[in-house]
Amino acid sequence: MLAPKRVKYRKIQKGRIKGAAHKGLTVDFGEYGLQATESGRITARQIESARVAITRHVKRGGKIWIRIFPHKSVTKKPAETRMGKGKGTPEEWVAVVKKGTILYEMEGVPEHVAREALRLAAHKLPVATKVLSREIFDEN
Amino acid sequence: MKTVALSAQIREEVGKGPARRLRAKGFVPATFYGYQTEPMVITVNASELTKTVVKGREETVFVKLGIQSGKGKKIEKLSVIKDLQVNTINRKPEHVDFYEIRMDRTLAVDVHVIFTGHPVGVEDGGELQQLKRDVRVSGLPSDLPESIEIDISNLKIGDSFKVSDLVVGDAVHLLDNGDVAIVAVVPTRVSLMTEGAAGESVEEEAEGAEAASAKPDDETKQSES
Repeated sequence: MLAPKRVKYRKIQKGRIKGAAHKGLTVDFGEYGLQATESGRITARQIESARVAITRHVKRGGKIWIRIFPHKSVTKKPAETRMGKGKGTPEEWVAVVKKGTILYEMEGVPEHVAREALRLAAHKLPVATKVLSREIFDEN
Repeated sequence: MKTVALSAQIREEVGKGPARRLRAKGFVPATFYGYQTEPMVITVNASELTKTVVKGREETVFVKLGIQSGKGKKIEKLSVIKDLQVNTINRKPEHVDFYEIRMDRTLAVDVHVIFTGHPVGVEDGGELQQLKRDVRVSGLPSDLPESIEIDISNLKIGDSFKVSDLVVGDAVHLLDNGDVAIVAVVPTRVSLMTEGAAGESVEEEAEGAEAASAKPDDETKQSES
């Protein structure tokens, strides 16, 4: 699973996700990409799970790029604990994703294989997505 | 290069509000400018524009703009799409910049690279990596190619095709650094393993041959003793 090697502060504030992405929103490396159409947090487990779904479908050949990284730690208090007594312990790492962000990119496989692999990956993610190609405009 | 026709109208209002109203009606706000040319604010039809731009290669077509002014006058201008803003979510065009082309002035554009042939290295187990999709070239508009074809069938594992290897003719200049690789065939883990296995088997064979050649001597030595 993806996780930062070292962070300055173990526990950070929750924050709010406002607006749309203004960077990382074009298919830059591969031929096809999976774009988030809504904002949210994607955990390191979900990122890994979607990656496995893509590689299992592609089987051999092709190349994958993961365009997001879980930089943010999320804390949790133990069950049946009274409120107070400080912030909980870090439980997981999440990537904060704004709508428009490209999550994964693929190359070296036929279009139908790439679209199916990315569709399967999308089922593992907590945000709505769509598959893009390098073409500027959608076909419809 | 291919030339396509596109009709446009002069825009009277500018700013965020009028631009949004235009987009809602199915039009795209645009500007037209060029060397020693008075800039114009215009509008083009969104569906016509999306048909004009080919697969993300907006700079590889010349656009013949038929600009209709309010007084019924029509001006024809040859241009190239210099910039195209697209909505990141719904992928609809939001604004276009048209840059006037003069046939006597050099123009710099990004030209798409097309690969032909199947590399030898890929058949040997290597992986084809496309590192660059466009190259920036400059030249007179009449000399600019629509795309550049590269024959990659001779590429072996470890080989690459660089910008300096491109043949574009004397009239066109390559603006990218010559050392930059466009496409490369790189070894994969599988190809390295098969290579390693083949190497080991060759070594084993050689060792076997050595042993076989050494054996009679030993036997002779033994018989002598």
